[in-house]
Amino acid sequence: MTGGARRAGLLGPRVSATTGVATAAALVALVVFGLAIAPPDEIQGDAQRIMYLHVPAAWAAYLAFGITTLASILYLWPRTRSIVWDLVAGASAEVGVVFTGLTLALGSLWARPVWGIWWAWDARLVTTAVLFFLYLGYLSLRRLPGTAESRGKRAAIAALIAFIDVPVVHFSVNWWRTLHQQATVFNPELDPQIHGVMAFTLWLGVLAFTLTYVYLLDRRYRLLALDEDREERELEAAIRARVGPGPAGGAGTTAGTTAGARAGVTP
Amino acid sequence: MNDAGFVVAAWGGTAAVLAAYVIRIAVRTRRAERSLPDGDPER
Amino acid sequence: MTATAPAPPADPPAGAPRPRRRARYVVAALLCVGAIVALLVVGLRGNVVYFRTVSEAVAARPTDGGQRFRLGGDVVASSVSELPDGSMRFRVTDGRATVTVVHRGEEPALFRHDVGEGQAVPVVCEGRWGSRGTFASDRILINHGNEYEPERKNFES
Repeated sequence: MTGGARRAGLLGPRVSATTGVATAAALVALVVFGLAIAPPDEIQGDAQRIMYLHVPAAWAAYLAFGITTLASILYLWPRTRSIVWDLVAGASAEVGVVFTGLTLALGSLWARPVWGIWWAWDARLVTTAVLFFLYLGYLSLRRLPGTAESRGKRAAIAALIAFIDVPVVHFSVNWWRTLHQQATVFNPELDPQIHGVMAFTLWLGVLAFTLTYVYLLDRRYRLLALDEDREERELEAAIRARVGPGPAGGAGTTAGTTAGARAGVTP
Repeated sequence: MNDAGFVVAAWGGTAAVLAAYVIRIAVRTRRAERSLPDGDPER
Repeated sequence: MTATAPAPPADPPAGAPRPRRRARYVVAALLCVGAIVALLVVGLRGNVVYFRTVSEAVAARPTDGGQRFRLGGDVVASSVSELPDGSMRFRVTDGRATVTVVHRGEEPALFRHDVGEGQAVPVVCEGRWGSRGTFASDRILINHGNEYEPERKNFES
């Protein structure tokens, strides 16, 4: 039985706790810099402070979906196939959906004071909303029935398809004429249009949200692993109940085989 | 200029969403831990 | 975030794995597909280019049949004036062509401030061609750039 291994988090309890503390510290520092130390923007005034959350949230969403893609490739590749990668992909996608939702909501709160509208049907906004629903759909797909291996492969392939939208979102502001501004740091000229304390605060935001992502991924992964473990035990119990108190060897074999099939090939 | 309201909504809302998500994961994890046959906490 | 209610305490011992509320997830997946299709159809129908430059708009004027579109360019700072009927009049340019806009409607919060600073304020106006070659706008969006810098301290404040 591999249940024990799959009950642990990704990072191990000590590293996970340290990450939690570091994340909290970085977020507190971000609040101080974002709301108090960074000066208001020349043109947008205080409304520009929303940028210190909006951009890092979008970055964290890209990162989360990138990890989902990587884990899905490792799951599909027969040599590295392991339930661990399937669970990492699922956990990361859920965290990514949270960050994408935040990106959209923060963008809307920023757009109202500076553009004058909550939403624009421009290419950046539409492709980002599509990204949200792509991965929400992916999370639903993960819950559809099947053996662990068929569910895992199905989800991994869907994850690879969904990721196509990530570069489309990022480059939409260069490919099409949009109301949304171009990237401030990773623009085509790679010439950052922000400096000094404002730039530092933006990078602090990226660091804080990266740590937040890692912490959430670890916690969400552990919950997913625990759930998977419980489902496996419930299935075994159900099979044992149906087969009845027959020869112990027979029931044990059946349960073992099914559990193995559900868990996929474990390393 | 009424920017402060938007800034507060953005920062407060983000804090609320992240906190709610962390708590939700923690609560469901605790529940899942209790259902373990040996009541095993993390390691 | 998937909203999963707490799992029922135990599944019936008699059976196969519990149905896992699978119908709910089939519906959710289909709703997501529907939302994506709707977004792409509504959002990118002729809108992949969010606005026309002044030159493009002028070139398309004879053939566009008075339809609504978005006009993007820089406000000529010195050109803003208020008309007796309460509407606002200003010129918008893309460097090659310039058009007079008559705007009736809400004025964005940052518009007056930015124009007052004497900068070339990039705007996107929604409306259609009106009489005598003016653009009749009913909504102004400020098309902010990607540059940020600290506010200069005003001496009078």
